[in-house]
Amino acid sequence: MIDESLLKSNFLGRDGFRWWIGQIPPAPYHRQGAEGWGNRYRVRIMGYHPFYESELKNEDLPWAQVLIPTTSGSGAANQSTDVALQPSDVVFGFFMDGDNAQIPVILATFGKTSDVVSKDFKGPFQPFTGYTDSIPKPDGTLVPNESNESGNPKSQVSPVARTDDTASSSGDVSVSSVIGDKVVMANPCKNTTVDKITARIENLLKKIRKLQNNIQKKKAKIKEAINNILKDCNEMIGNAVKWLGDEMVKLMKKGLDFLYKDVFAKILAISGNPVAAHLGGVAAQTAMVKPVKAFQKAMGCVVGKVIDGLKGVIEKMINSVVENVKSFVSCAANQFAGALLNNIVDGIADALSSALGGVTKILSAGLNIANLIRSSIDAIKGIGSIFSCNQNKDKCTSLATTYTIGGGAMMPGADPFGQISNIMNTAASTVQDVKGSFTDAYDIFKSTTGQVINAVSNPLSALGGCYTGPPLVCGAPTINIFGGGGTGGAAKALMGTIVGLGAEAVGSVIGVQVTNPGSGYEFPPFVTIQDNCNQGYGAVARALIDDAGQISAIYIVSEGENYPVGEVQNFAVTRTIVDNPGTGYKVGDKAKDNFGTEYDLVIDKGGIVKANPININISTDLPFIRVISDTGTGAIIRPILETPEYQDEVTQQIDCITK
Amino acid sequence: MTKERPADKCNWDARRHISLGPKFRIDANNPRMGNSGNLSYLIYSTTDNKDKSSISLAQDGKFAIYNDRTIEIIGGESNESPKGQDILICSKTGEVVIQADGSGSVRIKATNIVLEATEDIDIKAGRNLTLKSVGGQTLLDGNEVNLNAKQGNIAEGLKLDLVNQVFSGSFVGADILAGILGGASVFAFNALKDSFNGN
Repeated sequence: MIDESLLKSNFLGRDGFRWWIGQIPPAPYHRQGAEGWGNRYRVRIMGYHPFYESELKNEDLPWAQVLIPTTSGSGAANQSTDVALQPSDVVFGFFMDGDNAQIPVILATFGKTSDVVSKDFKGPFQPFTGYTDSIPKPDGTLVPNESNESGNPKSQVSPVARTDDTASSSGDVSVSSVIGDKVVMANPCKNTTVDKITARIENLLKKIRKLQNNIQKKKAKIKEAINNILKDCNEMIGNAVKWLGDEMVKLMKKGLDFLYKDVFAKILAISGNPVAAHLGGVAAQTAMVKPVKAFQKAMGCVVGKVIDGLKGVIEKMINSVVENVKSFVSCAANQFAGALLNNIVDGIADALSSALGGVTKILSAGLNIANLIRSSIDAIKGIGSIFSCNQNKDKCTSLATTYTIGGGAMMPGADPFGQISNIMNTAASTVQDVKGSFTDAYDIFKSTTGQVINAVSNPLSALGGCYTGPPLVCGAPTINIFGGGGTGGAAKALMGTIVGLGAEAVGSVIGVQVTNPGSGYEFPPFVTIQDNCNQGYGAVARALIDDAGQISAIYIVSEGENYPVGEVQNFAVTRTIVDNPGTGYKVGDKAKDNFGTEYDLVIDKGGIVKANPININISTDLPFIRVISDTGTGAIIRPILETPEYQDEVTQQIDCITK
Repeated sequence: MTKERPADKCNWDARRHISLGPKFRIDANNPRMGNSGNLSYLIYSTTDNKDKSSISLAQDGKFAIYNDRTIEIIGGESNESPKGQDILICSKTGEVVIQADGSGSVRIKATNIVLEATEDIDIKAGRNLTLKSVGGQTLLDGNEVNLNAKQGNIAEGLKLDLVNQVFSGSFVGADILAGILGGASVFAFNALKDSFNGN
């Protein structure tokens, strides 16, 4: 022993290394506090320290220094990345003082795997959680996880850029609750009131689903939506009042003329004096000046009065939607707007009723302002000619109305005003007490099933049913093509990467087959991919157009997932689109994809101008084409998948049985 | 229930991440699908109050900044020229959409505000539109200037208001209207005429 001691050099490494494996004890003993010195952690070392806390308490464990990788920096010149060791970490190190084992140094830590339990501390050398009071487990903002496994999908799961609904259905967290919200953008070309109300309600329903039992926040969100919808109604009321003003001018002019003729005729019949008759007619017309002026003045204040009167109605309607409607489909939006508009129309009639009393003499008997407004779609739509000969009509074509956050521009829906006008008028003609039914407009969302809404409580209403429950059947996604200045483009989705079987099967959109190239496209139209259940997400496609203004191809940028699968067919790369020719390519360079299809490259001046598939291989996922070249870079070749047409013509039949 | 693509159909090899505790992380090339494809990168952070903030680039090329609370973008503190550009927001192909989607306003304030359109400027208000030049003039200058209103001093001055439209062609002339209505329309018309004549 003395000999050994005498022979020691006391020089690190010359007497051999004493390696060890240990564990960082639980908080608060694991690390020196804010006033500690350096990077020091307590460590319980296997083979040196007892397995039982009763024999050696955590607070009595030795401090170990920590070595930092050269890439982390020591702190000099502000070069620093801090140490991330946590309680429970199993660390590897050595003793600076060899066999004396008093100065441990931590070199590295073992990464945790997802199989390691993440429970509270039970005793030394057992796995336990690294979360502490200082670093609590995330709650709702991140999936708690304590593993560090490269390439393992379950390790350190990050929030996903999806709606709260789709994120939570897979046990994930969304990066933001605004993803999926709809924003109706400013639009100088059309009345977007119905779009705005629809978006407000869809956004509200989405938020309500997330808030679940948070009554206070739910109430606040509903109140916010009501206030916003009230403001959205301004345009519609303003349009109706403006249209009414124009109509009233025509009617009152006629009435004034009739009044003059009537009085003239009566006085002439009595007096036989045409001058007296004329003066009487003029006097009768003159007597209408103040009442007409009063009507004009009343019209200036109508919008505010109607808005004030709408609040209660909208509140009831919104509450009814929140309670009964699962899916605010377009028929529901139209019935909602129809009910709202009937209230607006009634509100306008009420607001003008007293002023109208003064001008009844020049209006036809029984004129009903409300019915007058209901008689014209222009009254609510407010088409108004905004174009002069100098204005470019192009600013209104291909103008997206609604944008989905986290997605993109949405395909404009059909003009809802025709439908809404029908709803208003059908209700007016079929429901005896129109005002009663629409003043209690929230009743439209009450039904025996809780899912079918009608403009009146009766499910057999002339307005027809409107199913607002969860979709009963989910179909394959549809390809929506809009904008670009053209029309007629159509395409169908090609499904692959199928998960599940039968009705439960879902998949990705691995290709888009153009079924109609359309015409008149000045720039590539928008392409959106959506299924009727809003189940799938993430599929992104872009269109290319040719010189003739037709869609030449639609290629997939992202295949998405979780889309309902319709008919499953076999697809193969039949042609390609060279999105970027790249540079530096040489004759002899090759390309192939992950399904074994090889491509014949046509190279011009170093760029790839064409890539034609040589062989046909069925692709079940989105193929990725890779160019093999020692010199070229930058080429992007997009595969176009189609149903392959096999040219295996039958040339000879051999009867193997009889021969 | 969401069914994601199987892990073997996703490229997990390329994924790299740095997670600095439960409140901050950087995740690169995570193959998990989002609404715009998978994210090339995500920088994500939360507060003690569970407010979220993130910056990301999606597969469709969309760069997104989401923040549950206020976003501040301030520039130019050290710039010296008032003619220099402290903040520039420029789109190269499509639209720029600025929208206060709740009940909030869009407030723009500067010493001078220039709205320049190579074609049209459309201003639409659901209720009121106020153009006010407090110390100087309000000028409507164009090859053609039209007014369409049912009331107001200009409409009355130009006899476009509802009363004048109703009584036009009747035996009740402008003089009678002015007499009954206090001459407002005549005064307004004369004032308008004078303003156009530069008096």
